[in-house]
Amino acid sequence: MEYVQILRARRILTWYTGFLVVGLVIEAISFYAGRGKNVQDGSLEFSMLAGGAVIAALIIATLTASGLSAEASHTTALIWTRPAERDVIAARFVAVDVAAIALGYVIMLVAMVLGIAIIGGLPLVEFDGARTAREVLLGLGGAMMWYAVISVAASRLPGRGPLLAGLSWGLFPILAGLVFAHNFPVWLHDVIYALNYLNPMAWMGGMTPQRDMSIIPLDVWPRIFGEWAIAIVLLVASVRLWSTREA
Amino acid sequence: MIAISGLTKRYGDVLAVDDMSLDVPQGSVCGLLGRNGAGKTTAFKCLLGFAKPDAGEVRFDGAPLEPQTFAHLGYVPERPELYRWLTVAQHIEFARHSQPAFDAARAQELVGLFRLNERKKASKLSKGQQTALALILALVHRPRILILDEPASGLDPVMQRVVLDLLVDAATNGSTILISSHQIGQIDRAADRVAIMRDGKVVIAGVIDDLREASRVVEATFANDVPELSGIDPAIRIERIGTSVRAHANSNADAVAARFGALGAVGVRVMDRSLEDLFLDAVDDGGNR
Repeated sequence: MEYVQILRARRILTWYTGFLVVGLVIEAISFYAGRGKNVQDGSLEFSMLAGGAVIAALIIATLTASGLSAEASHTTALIWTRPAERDVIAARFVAVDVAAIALGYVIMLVAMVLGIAIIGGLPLVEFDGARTAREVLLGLGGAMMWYAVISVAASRLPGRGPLLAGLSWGLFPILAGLVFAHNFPVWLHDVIYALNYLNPMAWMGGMTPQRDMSIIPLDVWPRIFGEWAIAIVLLVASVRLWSTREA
Repeated sequence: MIAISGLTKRYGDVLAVDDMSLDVPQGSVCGLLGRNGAGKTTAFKCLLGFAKPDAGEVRFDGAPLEPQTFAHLGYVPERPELYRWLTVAQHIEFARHSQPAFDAARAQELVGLFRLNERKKASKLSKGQQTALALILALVHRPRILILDEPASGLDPVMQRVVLDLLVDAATNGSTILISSHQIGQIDRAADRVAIMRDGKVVIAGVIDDLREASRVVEATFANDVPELSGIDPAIRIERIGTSVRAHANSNADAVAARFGALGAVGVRVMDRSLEDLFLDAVDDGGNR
């Protein structure tokens, strides 16, 4: 049932990995051509890499989130005439996308480690398991939430998924930034603040687990829990909305 | 068997399908005819669960529509719905993954029949080839029930013939087929039953031969003026054209022809009406013919 979504995700990941490989090759060529210098000083926390790799998860989330919307737009007659519950069809689509987001994240993390290895910086990397786990869960939770918000918004808008996915890259940072604008009326500020509870960037807090960097005034573990809970609720809603719409 | 009972679908103030009832027995090919906007596609959407009917019931082989119904039901939409970025072979692979009753040999047979290049992407196929691929996807699991909305659109005459032969073969093997088309000749060739829709309602339904039999026309020519037509059922519609008369005699055609002879007609002939005549009469709203 999810064959097409697997192909879709594979295509996205193939292109994405291709770009990363090209980047690594360029880095290696420029380094070993003689201009580079081995890094010998300082240290680098692995958790910082784990946090930075979230950008990959966000990109993959944006690219895959329009899958159900595309199915609703062009291929309902194909996908809704399979001998399976529509909820199950949609849920399996989402499962493929979630796996693709996680895989995209891992590929980026590996690419970052390779990039550091190329310049000889691997011995300087320090690993803190607990901190890394927090970064991974916070970042991936944000990516899942990002995917879920687009997915639920596009579930009844056949073919509009890519548009919403593109807009999200402008809308989410602006929505987060507006919280710090103090010349709005109080009621408008409150509305903006409330809307940020559906903004993954507000939960991720600039991709750092520090409470004072986050718009959502919670410690890191409640934020992680909140992100994942909102993502799951919105994903269930998007599956139901997609399954019960009329073609 | 497809059994439709009291199917009604409304979009706001528009009654798209109005109390539609129709039975298509097993092994039958039923043509669904109607002008654009008559409600055919909406009826199909309700049959397949794409749209929720406001009233009525649909049963396939005695059971209501459920996901497992699609294990033995094939559907071809009005416009082929395909993944433009997938090849023909990938579409077939999609069917293999999603249809438990997928028949690989049948798939290869159909691809060969329609002469499709399996490596070609759907976006590179002609309209007719896209229709052919949609048909293949509907047929690869040898469905017991087929619902086809304009299945031969875009196909050249040779391929249209192939499609119609496929449908007749499927019906001969026990499949139940409901097919809509604007090409009455196709329905005439493939279908044994017909239902004609107008303004969301089924206005005529039945076995095509019976409908033809029940709607014969008797044409008589008289040497001079047409005499008073005594002894003819007043319920029969009579058209007078100069010294000729046409009687829409339906099942009384032979009796009416004999009566015209007795009244002194110099020439009498009984004509079967074509499916096209039946269709035009059924959809005639008095201003478009």
